[in-house]
Amino acid sequence: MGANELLLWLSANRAGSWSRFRSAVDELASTQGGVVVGSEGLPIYHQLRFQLQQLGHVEFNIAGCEQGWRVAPPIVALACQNDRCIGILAGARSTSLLRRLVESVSQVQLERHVEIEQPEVIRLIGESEGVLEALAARAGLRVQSQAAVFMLACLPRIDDLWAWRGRQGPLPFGKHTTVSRFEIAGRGARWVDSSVDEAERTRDGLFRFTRFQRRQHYLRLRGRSIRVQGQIGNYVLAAKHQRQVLRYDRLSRQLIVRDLYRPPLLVDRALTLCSGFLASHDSTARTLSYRDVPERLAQMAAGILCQDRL
Amino acid sequence: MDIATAFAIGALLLAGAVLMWLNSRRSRHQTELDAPPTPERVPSSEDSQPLVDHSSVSGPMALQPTHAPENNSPSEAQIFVEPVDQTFASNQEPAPRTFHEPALVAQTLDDRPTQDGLILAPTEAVAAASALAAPEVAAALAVPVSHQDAYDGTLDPPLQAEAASVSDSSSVIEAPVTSTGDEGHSNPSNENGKGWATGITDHLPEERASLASDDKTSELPLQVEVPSREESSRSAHAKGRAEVTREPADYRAPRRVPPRNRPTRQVSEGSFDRQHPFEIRVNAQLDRYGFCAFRLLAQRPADCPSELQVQQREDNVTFVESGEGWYEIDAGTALAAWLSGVLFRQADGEKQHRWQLSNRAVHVLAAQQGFAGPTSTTRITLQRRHIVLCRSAWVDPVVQVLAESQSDPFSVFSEDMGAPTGWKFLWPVSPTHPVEPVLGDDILNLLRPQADVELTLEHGIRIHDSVWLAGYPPDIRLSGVLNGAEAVHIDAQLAVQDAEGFFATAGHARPGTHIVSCAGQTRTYSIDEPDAEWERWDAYSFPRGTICGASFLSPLKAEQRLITVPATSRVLVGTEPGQVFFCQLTRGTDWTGLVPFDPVWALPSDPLHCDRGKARVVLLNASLVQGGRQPLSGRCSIELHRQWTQAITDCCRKRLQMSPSDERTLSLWRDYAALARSSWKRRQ
Repeated sequence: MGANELLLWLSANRAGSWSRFRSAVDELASTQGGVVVGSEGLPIYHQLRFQLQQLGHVEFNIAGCEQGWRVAPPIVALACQNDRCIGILAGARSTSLLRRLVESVSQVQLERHVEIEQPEVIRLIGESEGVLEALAARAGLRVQSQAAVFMLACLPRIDDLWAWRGRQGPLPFGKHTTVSRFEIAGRGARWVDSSVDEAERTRDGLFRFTRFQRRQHYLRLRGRSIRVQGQIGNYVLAAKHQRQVLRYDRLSRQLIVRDLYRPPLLVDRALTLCSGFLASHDSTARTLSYRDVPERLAQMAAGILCQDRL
Repeated sequence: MDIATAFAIGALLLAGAVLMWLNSRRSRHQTELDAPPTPERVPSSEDSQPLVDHSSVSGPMALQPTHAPENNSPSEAQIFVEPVDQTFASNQEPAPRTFHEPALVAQTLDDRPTQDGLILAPTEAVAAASALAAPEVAAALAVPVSHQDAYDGTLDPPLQAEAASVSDSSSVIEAPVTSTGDEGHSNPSNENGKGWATGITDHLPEERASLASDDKTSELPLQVEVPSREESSRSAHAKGRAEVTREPADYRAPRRVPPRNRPTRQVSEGSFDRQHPFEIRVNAQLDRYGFCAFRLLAQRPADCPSELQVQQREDNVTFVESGEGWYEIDAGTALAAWLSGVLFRQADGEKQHRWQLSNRAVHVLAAQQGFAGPTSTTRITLQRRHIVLCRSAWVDPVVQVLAESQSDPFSVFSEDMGAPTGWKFLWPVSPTHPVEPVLGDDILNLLRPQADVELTLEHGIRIHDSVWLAGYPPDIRLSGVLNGAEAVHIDAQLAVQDAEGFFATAGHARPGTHIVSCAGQTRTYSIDEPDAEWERWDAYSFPRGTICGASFLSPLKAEQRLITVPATSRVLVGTEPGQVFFCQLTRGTDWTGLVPFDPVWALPSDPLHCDRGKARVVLLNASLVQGGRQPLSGRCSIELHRQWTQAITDCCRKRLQMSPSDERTLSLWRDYAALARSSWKRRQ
């Protein structure tokens, strides 16, 4: 069973608990020679989870699937650029759906890209939105026009912590809790060891509390502790220090970001839906590159992430 | 001579006779211990195939169950070799099973003797004599019991630990049981009413030999009144549930005996003692480098939550949901000990559950439906790959038995490759030909594959239970040896075997239920194509819309427009007074976002203080210009109306330039300015 089969299995079961997902991935790993660590060094189940999330196939531990997962309905996400329009198949899949899609193809180029440790990327390339919408209607699929743009357009800026579900609360503590502090020094940034005491004394900063391999991030702002997503905290701190971590290459239409600053999930998903491909990681330069990102979208993403310029 | 004196002399004589008899038994026992092991059942290490990395087997060679050391001390030998099979096999007077092992148990397991009813007085005769004779005589008669002292200091600490684990099972062998309790086990050895003690000697080959002599246990002259497990459990239950069966039962290997009809026992609802414990299985996960991670999986009762706190003795243990119908046990460092047998209890009000992994030294793991990675199975099967996990002391006999049934090599791995402490695992074990079982060698018989036919369903995408996804049916494999006349049928059609050994017919992958049959074995599976209906839900909710997967949904009834305007003109106004939208401050040159109406103009946010040379009034929508203004509806709020008119009038006061700066745009702008002024005056 590969990642394609995993997505079919998830789609057939629609929703489930995290442990069911893990056991399905374990089964996958056991049939593939016992792959337990993904290519990015993460446990394979975490890596598959992130990739399924980023591609918009499955949602994890969010409203409607707390402590579990749920498959999003299938949809063709359109991204029109210049003289062509790309449709990316996201969400649930089934053998009959794929069969219908293949049988409905006319005047449209169907691309199936096999990628490592992720379901194959299915792209439909047509001359206009209308062509792709007609194809989707024949295959019984819904269409999301300008999916990436709409997604970014509805997102608040990351400094609006309450809109990003930031919650004020006391800092965690305990015997098995390890604390790290996000340190921005010189041109770089890193996580350094810290303590609960230091976190309580610090007026502004980002702290990571790890207990039994579960991480929680707390942003200290004017002496208050706000629990946030780790990526949100990174960007808030980068904005506070006026650090530019995004770069846009207009020639190659690539948005490049330092790997320590991977954007929050929904921004990441929107940028991924521009091309259908996950960001490529350059381990030497320690950057992530998103392909085929229009400048307008890059600017929207930069605005959400409180980055001054591209 | 009065009666009292005569009675005292008689008691002394009786005690002396018993003492002499015991000494004679001990000396004969010792002679038997020094004798070499039975050759056909006790393989020597020299005979084993060179498949084992012996470098990793060190230290406790004396503890290996295959043969007793030549010059071992009596105390050491008593642990490993029990010659009762020889005496019983020759119908000689049965030897009293050693008292030493209960003593050892008393040394190593704190509560075992009292719990299992193993009293320290060795026999009824001794006990009777003790009651009659002087205390000195009774103390002398109790000598065998104190043999636990012989073990103190004779074994290295690790060996003692090993001995403790080994004796965990042997502790119960020595109790010749006279009770009539019947637990309903399939072991025929206890069908004569001798209870549990006769069928649990699984740990050592020598101990296994005693199984053949179970029928003789009632004939032992020195018997201890030991209640059966049921009676013991019942009495303990009466005292309080905390004392109920703290130790797991010993594993009894399946034996090839015809089933017997037994009266069905009534199990009362909610009875804690009578409920059969839930299953615990060993699961292994091999990675590509050959490292194997072992874990324990506990069966999940239907009414239990996804995470559970249970008790093992006095400790709390967490069960976490893992897959369909199973928990993963958070074993931590206790895994090695628990592999030898463990019992968990959980009480939640009226509901009480127990989980048990029976006491055993060898685990056979193979790929199974519904589990990720090889998982505990009953025995080795032909043409399948297995992991055999065994105690370190068992490696030699296990290797020798496995070598009988396969030609392909396998390796023995120790702790550095993931084996729990004190255990080793053998991988890949793929038997190719059947081996006849050896009578009485129950545990090692698990490793001797039988010619029985077995149907297995592998691969494909299993949705749940026996339902597979359409397009991804299971592969049907047959293991065992078929007679010439037997064949595999799927839905009554003759199945054909492909090059990889899987059986198929033309319709075996079609949706529906299918039955595979061969040589009296049947397997049923279904192929299903679930309805292609997935509902959208609001996974992420924001004020401007919700997101689910790649889809976006606006919360407003009116459709929102995606607009891009220059970042310097962030106030958007529509055709109707009150249609005004303030764009979020952005860092780039443009702002892109959703607007709940069709904007006509984009105006600077603070026209009275902007740079007149740079700021522009931007016309956005030419079609609306051509269509003309809509009449004032009056539905907008006063504040929005004020903002709409103020944004236009401020731009007029500043006399900002138009973009585009053609006459039509200027004319339209003048109309809007006039409307704004009149509207402003009306409001005033």
